[in-house]
Order: sequence, then structure tokens, then C-alpha cells
Amino acid sequence: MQITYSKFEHKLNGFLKSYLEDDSFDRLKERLDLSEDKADSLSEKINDFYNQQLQIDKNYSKDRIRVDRIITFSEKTLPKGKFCKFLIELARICLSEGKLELASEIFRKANRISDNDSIKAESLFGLADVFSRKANWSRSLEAINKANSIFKNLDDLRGVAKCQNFLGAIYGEMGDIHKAKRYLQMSLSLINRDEDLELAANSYTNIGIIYNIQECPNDAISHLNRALTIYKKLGNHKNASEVNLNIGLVHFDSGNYESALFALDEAIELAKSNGFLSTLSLAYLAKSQVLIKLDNFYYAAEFTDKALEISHNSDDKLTLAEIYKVKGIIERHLKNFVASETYLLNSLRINNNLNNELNAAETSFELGVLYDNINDSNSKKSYLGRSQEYFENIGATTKVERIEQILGFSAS
Amino acid sequence: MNNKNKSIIKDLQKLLNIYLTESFAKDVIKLLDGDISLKPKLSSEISELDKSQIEYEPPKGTNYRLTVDKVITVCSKLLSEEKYFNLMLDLSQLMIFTGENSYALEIAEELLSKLHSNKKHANVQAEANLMISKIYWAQAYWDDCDHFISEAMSIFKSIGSESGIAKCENMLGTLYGEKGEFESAHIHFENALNLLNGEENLSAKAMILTNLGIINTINGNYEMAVWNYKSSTEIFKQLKDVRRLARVYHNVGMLYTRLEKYDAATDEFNKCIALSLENDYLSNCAVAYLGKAFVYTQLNNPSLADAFTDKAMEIAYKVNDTLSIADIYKVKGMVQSNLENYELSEEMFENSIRLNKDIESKLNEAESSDQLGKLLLKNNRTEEAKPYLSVAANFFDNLKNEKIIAGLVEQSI
Repeated sequence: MQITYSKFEHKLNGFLKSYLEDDSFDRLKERLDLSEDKADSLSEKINDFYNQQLQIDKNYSKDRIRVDRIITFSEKTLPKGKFCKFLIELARICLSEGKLELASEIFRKANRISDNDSIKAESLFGLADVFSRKANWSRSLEAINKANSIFKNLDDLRGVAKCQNFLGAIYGEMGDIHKAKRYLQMSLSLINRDEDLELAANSYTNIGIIYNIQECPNDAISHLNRALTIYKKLGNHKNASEVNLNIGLVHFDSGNYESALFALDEAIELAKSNGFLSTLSLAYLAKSQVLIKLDNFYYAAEFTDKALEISHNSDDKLTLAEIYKVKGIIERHLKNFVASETYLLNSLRINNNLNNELNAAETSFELGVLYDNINDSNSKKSYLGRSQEYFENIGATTKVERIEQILGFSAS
Repeated sequence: MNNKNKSIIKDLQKLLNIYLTESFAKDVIKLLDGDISLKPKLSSEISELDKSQIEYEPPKGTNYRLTVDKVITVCSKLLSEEKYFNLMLDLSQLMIFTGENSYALEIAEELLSKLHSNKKHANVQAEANLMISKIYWAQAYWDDCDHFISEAMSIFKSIGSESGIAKCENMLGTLYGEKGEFESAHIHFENALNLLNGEENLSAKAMILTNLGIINTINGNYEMAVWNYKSSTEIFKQLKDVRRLARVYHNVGMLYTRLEKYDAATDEFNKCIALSLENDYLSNCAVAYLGKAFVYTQLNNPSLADAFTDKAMEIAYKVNDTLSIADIYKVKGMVQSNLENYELSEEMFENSIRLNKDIESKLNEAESSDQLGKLLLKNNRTEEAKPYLSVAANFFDNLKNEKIIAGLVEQSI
């Protein structure tokens, strides 16, 4: 691995020299060398439980061969309508396994060959999901709006509710909390909650997440628990794992770290044993945030790096931006301030590119704390100010008070 | 099923049980359970060179990302706007060569979003669009590729950049070429060449010559192709552009393969692989591995052929190179046919045909159809063979070269 990295580094250096003046090049190189990963030397320090949590099987190309063979076989065997439905299910499996490109290929195929509007809508819904996981909001919104309009034409209320719920989730990811809440409530109003348990649980989950962002932990936990009970009853391990992750995050935000670890370990166990890589990556990242609070920086770094590996392979840009934030926090705690700044600026840059206001505000907050630590009051005010504006707007008062507190210290 | 990744297997089994009858589902699962890879007797039969190529471990993409993300963030403060934008273009191109297509796209899209509000850098904006078209092309997303070529073309036209238009014409040629529309491809390449004058844009000229070499090879104009490749090789050597030089070596290997000069072909594939592995240019590797696999099928060495197709598959999946994946199934079909495992061979050819149809790759579909047709004839299934042979015949009738042999993907630049 080191040899590979050196080769690349050598190439990159040659390449950068053509762009940078000598002194800038040296400064940049120094900066790049500063925070070389310490992960390799850390591996042996990980305890057995953590080590077991970090071991995952990956045999991607063999899975691709298997899926290809199944598609070819099924195309010959099944009637067209059934085959298209089958493709949708198959693509969903690939999606939950983090195989975004393969899922996209299969959804596109279903969309192309099906004459059935309902299948076309489902395939567009699936594509919207693929695009949203890559944080490609414009294409995701385009696909979901097309799906929504087909469901409307078919008078398929459940389909419309699914789309509204999805829109709520997208706007939530983008940090537009008010809009997100509107769509989620609209989704709930379109279904019979006692009959359509799965969709109701999806909405409870997303509403729980929004409550947590708005600093209402009790409401958040209550909605998430309702969702968890349903998913357990339905045997939906994937969503149960995601809900556990979100429960862990609520406890984390409330400072209940033991409860957070308990929920996150549940999430990791479910995600790992069922191969839900995108959830697993988020759960690793959440766990590393808890470990930071418990001053376990080495373990935190290990979990973050594992999350990075999964997120990069599945092109999950949102999580990548979060990973950089957490790496920045770790380095800040270790007093590697230059490395910390670079990671946090990486995170901010990516979040800004993705129009993710919430995460950008959170990263700006962390940058503010960093600049507070190194007594750069201008930068501190600038980043905390940006963060404060967003959190005031969504009514996150605790966060705003915390920012005011840090800003207040500088004034005195 | 023996796969280590048990979770997807479990899900697939459940799904098959829903859609197929119980006994059918059982049969399919049993069929899939068998490992289709051969167990090669590598130790006694393999050269050191082949061994090192098969044992090559692609680098982790996270290594690139950690470094390149830092470069992008830090350089935004160090460089002038123009230099910074060009750096991002070059980084995106570098990531294409390393096979990190999603990351390359992310960089190019970020660049494009920075340029939206900035009309000063129309040339960079056009180049970024062209870069995105390449990334989609590499993954066989033809519509997206076409859209971004049009965007780039329109910007280059608006600023009167002939070299830019030439690059777009080249890209259109590669797009039509991959879809098997060689006449259109040839016209676009000629248009591109005519737009480039003098000693400037040597690199673009060499790219176009390489692509013309591919079309000439497919059309059976071998002498012309040799001249094309010789010229482009000289230019890339002069420019010290090893990435593209490796691709030319691969295409020369393809030419020798079509001429059935397998030793010479192997030498060229090895040159391509050596340069690519040395620099971790994964985007070149899958096709070159597949080239060697094909040669080994012709030399009756199924174990090695299969080992090379497996490695090609590993890399092609990593870089989401669907075109190569479709061709890998074809070569796997040939390996199994040589071993008289006709059922598995048929299934592999069917996989290849289905994927090639999905990505509208007519040449490759025709080649796989030809292979399947011949397999069925060998098994006295004449009626079943007819439609496949007819698809192949219809396609090849339109080409000058009647003796196209089942082969592989040439690599356009």
C-alpha cells in the first residue's frame, strides 16, 4: 500500500510542480505530508470487539458475475412484466449493498424495457435514490418528480406518499428543514398508518431525524422507536439498522454516550451481518464521534478510516464530507491544527458543492472552534457567524447558545 | 453458494424464490453455486511475468482521495483562478486514468459549478464538459456522454476554438465507434484531424490518429492502421505521455490479434500492462488483461485465459467499465467452449450479448452472437443458432473486413 501511495505521490508531485511556484509547492507538500495516515500503526491497538466490527467481506466482482447471470437467466425465463418487477427488486438489493452503479444499470434497464407505467415510476424512484446517495440533488429531484407525476396519473396514492417522503428526506439532507417537514407530514397524511406500516415507519424515521436537528430529542426518540418497532415486526433489518443509527445519533447529540454506543453497536451488528454498507459506513462514523467524546482518538481514527473506505467505494459524497469533518475534529484534539484545518476545509468545500447547508453549518462550527483554539479571532468570527445564521434559521437554540458562548469568550 | 459475501447471496436466493417456481429457483441457485473460475495449475505453467500481472493488487481509491482532496482544498488558496481551474481539469483526467471515474466526475462537476458564475473561462468550461463526457463514455452511459459533448462543442464554437472543436469531433468519433457505427466514427475522426493544423495540438493529433488506427483495424485496413499507430506512438513518446502510449500498445496488440500473430500481440499487451501497472493506470488494465486472456484461449491455455479474465473482471468492475465486462463474458464463454463445458459457455455468451444489447454496442453484440451461433451449430442446434448467426452476418456484411475474429475492446483515446 505504501509503495502504491509513493508512486502516486511521485506522479502528483511532478504534476503539481507545473502549477505551483517552488515555495508554494514546498508549502503544499509539507502540508500533505503532515497528516499521513497513522491507521497502519494503529491496527494492532484495536481491541478484539472493535476489530471484529471492522472486518467486512467484500467480493465485488464475483457479486457482479452472479447478478449478471441471474438477470440473463431471468430474462429468458420470466414473462416481460414479471421480469421488470424482478429487476426493480434486484436493483434495490444492489442499492442496499452499496453497489450504486450496478443498481443504476438495472433500474435503467427496467425503465427502458418496461411498457408498464407503474414499473417506470418505480425505476425512476430507484434512480432518484441512486442519485441522492451520490448527492446529485438536481438529477435526484428530476427523477423523483417524474415518478411522482406518473404515480399521480395512476391514482397511486401510496406511490405519491413514497415520493413525498423521499422529497422530505432529500430536503432534510440538503438542510432545508422546514420544507423537509412539510413533505414528510404530507406523506403521512396520504396513507393509512395502520395498514401501510412500512411507509408509516419510513415517515416516522425521517420526522424523528428532523426533530433531532431541531433539538427535540424526546420527540425524536419517540418517533424513531415507533419506526423501530414496526421494522422489527416486519423483519426489515436494513431500516432497523438505520433507525438504530439515528437513535444513536440522538443520544450522541444529547450527550448520552453510553446509550449512543449501545444503539450504534446494534446498528453496526445488523448492517455488518447483512452487508448494508452505506448504513455501516454511517454507523462507523457515528461511533467514531462518540469515541472522540470518550477521548479514544486512536479507535475513533480507525473507525473513521473504515468509513472512508466504504464511502469512497460507494461514491457516498455526503458521508465523505462528514468523514473529513470528523477527521478534522480528531486532528484538532490531537493538536495537529494544520491537518485539522485542511480536513475541515475539505469537508466545507464538499458540503458547499453539494448545497448541504446543515452539514456546512456544522463544519463551519468546527472550524470556528479550531480557530478559537489557535487564537485566530477573525476566522473564528467568520465561520461561527455563518454557522450561527443557519442554526438560528432552523431554531436550533442550544447550538446557537453554544456558538454565542464561544464568540462571547473572544469578546472578553 | 460459496461466495464469501453471504448477505447478497441470501437476498438473491429470497428474490429468486419469489419469482421462480421452487424447483426452478433451486436449480438456478445450484447452478450459480458452482464456481465458474477454473482452478489454474499456475505454479508449473505460468511465467513470472504472467504471475506478477495476475497477482497485481489495485491500489485503494481512498489513498488517491485523501491526497487529491487536500490538494484541491489547499491549492484554492495558492493558485490563480485560471491555474486552479486547469489543475482541477488535470486532476480529473488523472483520476480517469487511475480508474476512479466517480471521483473524476466529482472533480469535474465541482469545477463546472465554480465556472457557472464565471464567464471568463469559457475554454475551461468547455474542457470540463468534455471531461465529463469522457467519464460517461468510459462507463457506457452514451446519452450522458452525448449531452456533454454537445455542451462542450457549443462553447468551443462560441469562442472559435478549432482545436476544441477537433477534440469534440474526436470524442464523437469514439462514441460512435463504441456503438459500432464505424462510418460515422470515421467521418468525425477525419473532421477532427482536418481541424488541427501545424505542430500545435500534437497530443490531440496523436489521439485522433490512434482512434483512426482502431477504425482502420476493424475495417481490415491493416497497413493504414500500422501507419496510424506508428505515428501516434512517436508523438506520445516525444511528449512522454505514458498513459496514452500504453493505450496505443494495447491497440497494436489488438491489431496483431486480428492478424493471428499471437506472440507479437502478447508482447504489445505486456508493454501496455507493464506501463499501466507501473503507474497504476487501471483504466488501461482491464482491456489489456482481456487481450491476453483472448490470446491464451487461442493458444489453448484455458487456465491462464480464465485467470486473466478474472483479473480483468476484478478491475473492470472496480472502474465500472461495462463494455469490458460484456467482453469478459465473451472470452469466458470461449474458454468454457474450449473445455467443452457447452452449457456454461452458452450462458456466458448470452450474458455478453445481453449486456452489449443494453449498452448498444453493435460490434461486440455481433461478435458474441457469432460465437454463440457457432457454439450452437457445434451442438447440432441449427435452428437456435440461426438468429444469432444472422445478427452477426448482418453486422459484418456492412464492414469491409469479413474475417473479424471474436476479440476484445479496442481502446479509444
